[in-house]
Amino acid sequence: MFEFSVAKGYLWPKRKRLSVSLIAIMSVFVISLVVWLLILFLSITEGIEKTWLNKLTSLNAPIRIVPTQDYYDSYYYQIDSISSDSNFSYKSIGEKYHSLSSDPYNPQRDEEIPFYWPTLTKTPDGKPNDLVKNAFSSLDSLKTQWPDLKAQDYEVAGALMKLRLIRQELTMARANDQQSFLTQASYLSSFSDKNPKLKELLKSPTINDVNHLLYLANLTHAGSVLEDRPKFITSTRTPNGIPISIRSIMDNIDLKTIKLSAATWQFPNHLFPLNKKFKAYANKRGQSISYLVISKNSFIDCALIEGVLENTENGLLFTTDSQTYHFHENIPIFLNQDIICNAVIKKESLETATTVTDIELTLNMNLQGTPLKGIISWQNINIEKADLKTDFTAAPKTPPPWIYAVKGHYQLPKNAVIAPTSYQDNKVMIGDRGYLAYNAITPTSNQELRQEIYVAGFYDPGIMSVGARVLLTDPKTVRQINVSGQNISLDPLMTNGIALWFSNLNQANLIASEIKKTFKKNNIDQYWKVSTFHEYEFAKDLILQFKSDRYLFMIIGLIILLVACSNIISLLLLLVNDKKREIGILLSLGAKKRSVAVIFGICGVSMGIVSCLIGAIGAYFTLAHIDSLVYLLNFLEGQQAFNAAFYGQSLPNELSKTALFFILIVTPILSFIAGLIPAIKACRLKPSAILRSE
Amino acid sequence: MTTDCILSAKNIHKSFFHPKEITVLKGVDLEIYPSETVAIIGPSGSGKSTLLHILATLETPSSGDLSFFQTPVTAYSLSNIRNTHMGFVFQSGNLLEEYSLIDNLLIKAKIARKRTHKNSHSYKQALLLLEKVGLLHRQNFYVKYLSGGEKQRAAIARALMNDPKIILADEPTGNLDMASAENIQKLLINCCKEFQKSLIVVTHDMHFANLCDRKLELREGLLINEPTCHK
Repeated sequence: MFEFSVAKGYLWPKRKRLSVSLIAIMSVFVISLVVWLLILFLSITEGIEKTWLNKLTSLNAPIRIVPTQDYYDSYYYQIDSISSDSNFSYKSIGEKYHSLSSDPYNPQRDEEIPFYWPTLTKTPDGKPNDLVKNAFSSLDSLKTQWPDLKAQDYEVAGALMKLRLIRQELTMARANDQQSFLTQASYLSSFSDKNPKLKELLKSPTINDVNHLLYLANLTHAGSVLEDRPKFITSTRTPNGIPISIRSIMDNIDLKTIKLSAATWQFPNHLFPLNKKFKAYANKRGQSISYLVISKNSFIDCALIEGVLENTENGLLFTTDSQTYHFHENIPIFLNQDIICNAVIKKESLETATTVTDIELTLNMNLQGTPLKGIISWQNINIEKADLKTDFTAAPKTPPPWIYAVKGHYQLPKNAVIAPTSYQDNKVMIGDRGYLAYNAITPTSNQELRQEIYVAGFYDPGIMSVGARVLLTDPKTVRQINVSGQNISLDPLMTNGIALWFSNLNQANLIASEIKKTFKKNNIDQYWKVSTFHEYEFAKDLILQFKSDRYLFMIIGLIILLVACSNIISLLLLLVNDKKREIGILLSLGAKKRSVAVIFGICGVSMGIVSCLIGAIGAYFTLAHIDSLVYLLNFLEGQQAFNAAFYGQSLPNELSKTALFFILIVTPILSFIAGLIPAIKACRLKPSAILRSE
Repeated sequence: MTTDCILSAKNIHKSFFHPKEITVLKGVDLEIYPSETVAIIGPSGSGKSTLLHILATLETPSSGDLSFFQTPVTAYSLSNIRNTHMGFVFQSGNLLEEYSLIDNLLIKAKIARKRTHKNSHSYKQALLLLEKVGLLHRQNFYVKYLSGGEKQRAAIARALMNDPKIILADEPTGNLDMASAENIQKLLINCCKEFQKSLIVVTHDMHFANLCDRKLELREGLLINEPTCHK
């Protein structure tokens, strides 16, 4: 097509058409910039939406099946309250699932069934219709179609949580234990070990957590009974059942390096090699020296006097310009700065250790250019680097005090709770202990019961409004609290149900409708309400917000793009003016007016496509290096540009296919429309008038 | 009207309305026959170029009939007539400055959707025409590097592309020195004779007009010595 070759000639920048070329380059640049920005913006917002939805459905499952009022009114549910085999108490879905009998009623022993109760529904083969087992088997039958379907019952309870936060305050040569308390009315959700997304939700324990655990393990008597009396921190009893021990920590870390703190770590005298000199400073009180600081650099503190420290056969010597001090006994020696060094734990010491200070380490370090090696005990030492074991191929002999997985199957330690990450902001660390308080209501009293707990890990609750108050704990604890009576008012229809996980969230509605069909076929549809994450009361608003935001961004994007593409109009009008003579010649040579219009249409669309490609490629590379961009923005702003609670630890960097598709379709269309106006002008030109004017 | 008349104009009127009404052509009649060369002379502003543009279908007459092969031009696609049946030579050449010489010739074939690759008929025709006008050695030169005379020769070659029936030339030598003008005039006449093309040339140059078969003068909106078919 000759139109293409002519359009190509018009678009290619030429020195002769400098102004047109510059405007063309500017137009392409502006559209590319808008395309780049839109793709980037839409990709990031879509990524954030995806992350949020993922978190939302990871914790709460994309489909929840809850019993209806008909279920609670049914014979199947009510019968447990008069059955001796059921201990005269209602059963949760989990208990019903594991129960051996679908109808625990024993006419010989149990009281008469009230006449107004509904009768036991039966299956076509005459057996009692076990509503729970039937529901689970119905869900199992869908696995042929969706093999990644995972179902597990869940239960939610409410209790008052109180955590005791014991912290060590370090000063030179002295460590003080401080305590504070964190109290919160919390939701307790049963820990779903079948949740396939658990790994994404859980946060790995950190070195700080391990150091804290070691510190707590050293406080052998830190309990929670006398928590209101701070001075008893070191004289209270160890709570039973909290599985934090030195072995449980040390057996599950692979120590790499340790940090010898300048403020607190006391240099053992025996580490000094004989006849080696070290520059040091001494704190002199009267005629005697109270402590030494090993340092190459001089101190501003005039009270410290400079000298040389040397280990001799007769003990340590500290020599100043005027005097020599001889230490026969151990004198406190500190470092002026933290030292990070390699250390290996002596296994024999670990076997017999009852406190952390019993652990012995072989130390390899360098002090003022002199290599030192020796054995030290674990006192005021922090781990700097270590690999923490969280995934095991077989059950560990000594399980770690943090949450761990055996063959990918997560295990919650005894009495452990998994707290939302917002607790970390409140300085809660793994190992912090406390209790859950809940009420047991009897006809004569309202007794407060306490369940010992400790924090074994953290999870990301996403942006759920109640997320910051949901603790994950073992189902038995949740059940126990629910049985004894609710402390916090919860909707009974929502406290117990079945959670259903699968990977493709787009299929949630399809799966839900299949479940409803299967339930109907099995005559249990009236007892269960199936809802997808779109219908969750706590998520509905958020999802609607996502949707409206997306439409709003699309419209704004379209307007910006339209403005950018309007540049093409002015450029092409200029080009038409510039190329008037050529247009006249082409028309005189027999070119159709339509062809002339097509030439300028091609110019518009080509600019749109080229800009689109430049912008899209730019967006792709920007997304690939989004962390560097965020770092730059943080640097320019002097603070964190993106709130991690909202945007996540790092911005999403996946190119949105929807955004790309939207931009790649819309931009050429808009630029074609923009090219039409100059094209119409061009084809209205009269060749005779143009050529005559020449 | 005889049957072999290529182009016939009957009672052509043309008026311009801005700033005030001026009637330039007041009933022009003209018939052009195959291989005939016709010169239209007349003073400046007499409407020679307007008449040529009307004959070339670049401009529409205010009234009158224009026929091509005895069929009113309105029955044809005007762009198609211009592309395949007519060739133009303008005073300033009107070549596409940013194209090479060969591409200037081939653009006419491209507009006609003909193949223009090196083995194509159009390409060979372009080379032949360039050879004819003595510019074969400059085929890949950009037009902007050609002299005025060379440009006019190139314009003649382009006009002959697509094998048209008639060549329309508007003061083709108006911008050239006398020697060059004479060469171009001869070339144009010779080419038309050799390729058996009709020629309508608008000129002030009486010498050039005398080279043509017929000489018509446009005076006060009318063609003097209304010609008749004489072949």
